[in-house]
Amino acid sequence: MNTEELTAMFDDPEMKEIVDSFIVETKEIIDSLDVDLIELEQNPEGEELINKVFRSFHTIKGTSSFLNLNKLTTITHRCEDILNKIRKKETKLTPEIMDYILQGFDKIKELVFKIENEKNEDVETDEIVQKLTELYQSFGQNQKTIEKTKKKSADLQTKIEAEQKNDSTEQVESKIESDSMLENESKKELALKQTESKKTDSTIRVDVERLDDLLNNVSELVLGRNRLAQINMEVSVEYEGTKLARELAETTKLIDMMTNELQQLVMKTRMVKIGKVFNKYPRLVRDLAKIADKKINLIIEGEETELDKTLIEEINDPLVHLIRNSVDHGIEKEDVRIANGKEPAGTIKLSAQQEGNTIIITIEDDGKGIDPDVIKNKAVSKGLITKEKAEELSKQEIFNLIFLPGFSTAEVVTNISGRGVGMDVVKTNVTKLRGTIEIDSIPKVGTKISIRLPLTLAIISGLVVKVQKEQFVIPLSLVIEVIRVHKDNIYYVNQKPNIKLRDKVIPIVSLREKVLKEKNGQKNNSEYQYVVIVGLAEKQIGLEVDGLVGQKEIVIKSLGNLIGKIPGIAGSSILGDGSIILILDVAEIINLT
Amino acid sequence: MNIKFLVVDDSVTMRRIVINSLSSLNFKDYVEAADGNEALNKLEENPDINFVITDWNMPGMTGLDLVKAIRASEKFNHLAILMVTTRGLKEDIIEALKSGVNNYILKPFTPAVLKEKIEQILNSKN
Repeated sequence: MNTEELTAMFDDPEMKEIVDSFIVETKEIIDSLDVDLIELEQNPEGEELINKVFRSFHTIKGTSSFLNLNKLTTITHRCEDILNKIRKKETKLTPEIMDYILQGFDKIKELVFKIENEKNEDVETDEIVQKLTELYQSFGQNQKTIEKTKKKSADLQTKIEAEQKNDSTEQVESKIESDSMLENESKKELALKQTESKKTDSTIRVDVERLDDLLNNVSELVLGRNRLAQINMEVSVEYEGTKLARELAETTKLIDMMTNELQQLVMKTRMVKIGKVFNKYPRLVRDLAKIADKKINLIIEGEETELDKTLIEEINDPLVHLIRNSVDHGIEKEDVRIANGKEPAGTIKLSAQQEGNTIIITIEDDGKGIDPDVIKNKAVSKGLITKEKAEELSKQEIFNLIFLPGFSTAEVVTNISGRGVGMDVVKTNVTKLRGTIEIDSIPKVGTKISIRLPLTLAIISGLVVKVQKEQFVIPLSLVIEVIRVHKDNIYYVNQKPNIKLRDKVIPIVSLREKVLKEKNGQKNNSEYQYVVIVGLAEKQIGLEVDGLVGQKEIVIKSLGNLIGKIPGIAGSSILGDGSIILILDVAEIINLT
Repeated sequence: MNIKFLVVDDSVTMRRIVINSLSSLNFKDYVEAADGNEALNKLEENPDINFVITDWNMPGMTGLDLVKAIRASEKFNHLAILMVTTRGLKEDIIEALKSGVNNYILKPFTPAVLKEKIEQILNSKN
């Protein structure tokens, strides 16, 4: 089909439903093939698996043929033919065959991308189709016999069709035969299978936009609920003991409960298993390991862990970068590993788990680790820090140097990483999601990188604090602890205040100065000062506040176009009493220091 | 006579395609199922179904097993069954016919071919 015809088909409202469904379904199949193909390579005898893979290609072939997506149909058909041979055990699945299938699979992905985004099939496919065809023909059987059987079966098909028209006796006979043969067995099976599958139809597809709308509406409802709670408080004071106050209190409680529940439900609806992202990595690691000529096993744990859809989309790039790093700089070549008494094959472990309101994703490798001295020297030689300062840094602080823009540890720029995007980009991405990142490494043993992310983005728990007369919200997921410090325990280094918390030195920032811009504002006269310790990515700082108000559920709203961006402020929200409160952008405040 | 179809396929897109074809032929009464087991449940729930259009290759209970199960059941063995598949080989066709399908249609098909196949089955039934 040429481009115009395809475009016409995509624009045809009658076909739209089918085309949409085709794209969604095919992308889902591609996602699962990403995992299944790699698993199949490691376990080529797995019968269930080969059947599943075969069926995946089969489905794409079938549906794409209806949409006249000729190129897609041809490639999937070729792959299916080859897989069918393997399925029927007529040939063995060699790494070479797997390479061809994976190449074909890559083309399929490319095609589906084109079809979805540009509504055409403008991808060069002749070469791969040729390769797959030759591979298929090389399987013992030569072309002639294939064609013969094809012709035979075509003949037979027409014959059978002719017979069916006359309701041929042969068919009836064979039907009767099979009936009696299978009757008893199948009846039992039928009864059994029916009880097994009462729970079908339990999922439906929903447009993401609708989920976003739903979340927005629930956010507004949360605001309304907060307002109602406030009114209830006032009424209960003014009309204490009256029937009206009692009834309002009851209703408020009920609405409060239901709103909470609804909010939880909507959040849950938006949750996607992180496996959706993780599933792409076996293939990635396989390909990268091949290029780097290393042996690497990837272990994935916790793929059932759920995250908000928005986060799932954003976390992929940082993870890919970290995996590339592990393959390229972490895991050693086989001979080096053996010489160091390690297993010849390296291991990368990717895991996810939920801890309260955060998700922790870790990438751990048993490679050569990071030598703090090397990092230190590099940072000094690149002029990122002074030699004197470098000597004062703790191990953790040294690792954090890796996140500085312009820092790259690879001696040689390789094919895999070192493409000009450094760890600073990873950090920026994680920070954007209000997450934190931490590196831990032991030279010669391995490296572990942990990323902490909030479960969801739109509604957060916040700590409401007071600065002068203003109230601000600090996202609770970033709050590590709140302490009260005596004024004498604040130390000034280069005129900048710091506190010592256990064995860490933490810089503190005055919100009064940074956000309210009041250099000489009225200082808090008490001897003690509240400091909220917040952590973002690898950094920790203390925020000086005048008072703590409490914990609240906060719906994040942007400031709107009229006001624009204010440094240090991430957005606003409305409190129960109708007043507007500003949400602090902790990442920016850290950068402002 | 009103014909109520049961369209069985594990691929949503294939089901949409079949249903679209049926609608264009003015057959608007249908029920869907994603695999053999669900199909059997749908048959129980909708005693007025009289025509089954099923895919062959499905996970779990295959189309072939579904046909066998339908033919083995006293309640359902009168149903018309059309098998939709890409398998054009001799052995496959014989296997499908032996299991009890009334007719057989190769993917990709046009609504016209589907109409022809449905009419063939209905004519032979009457």
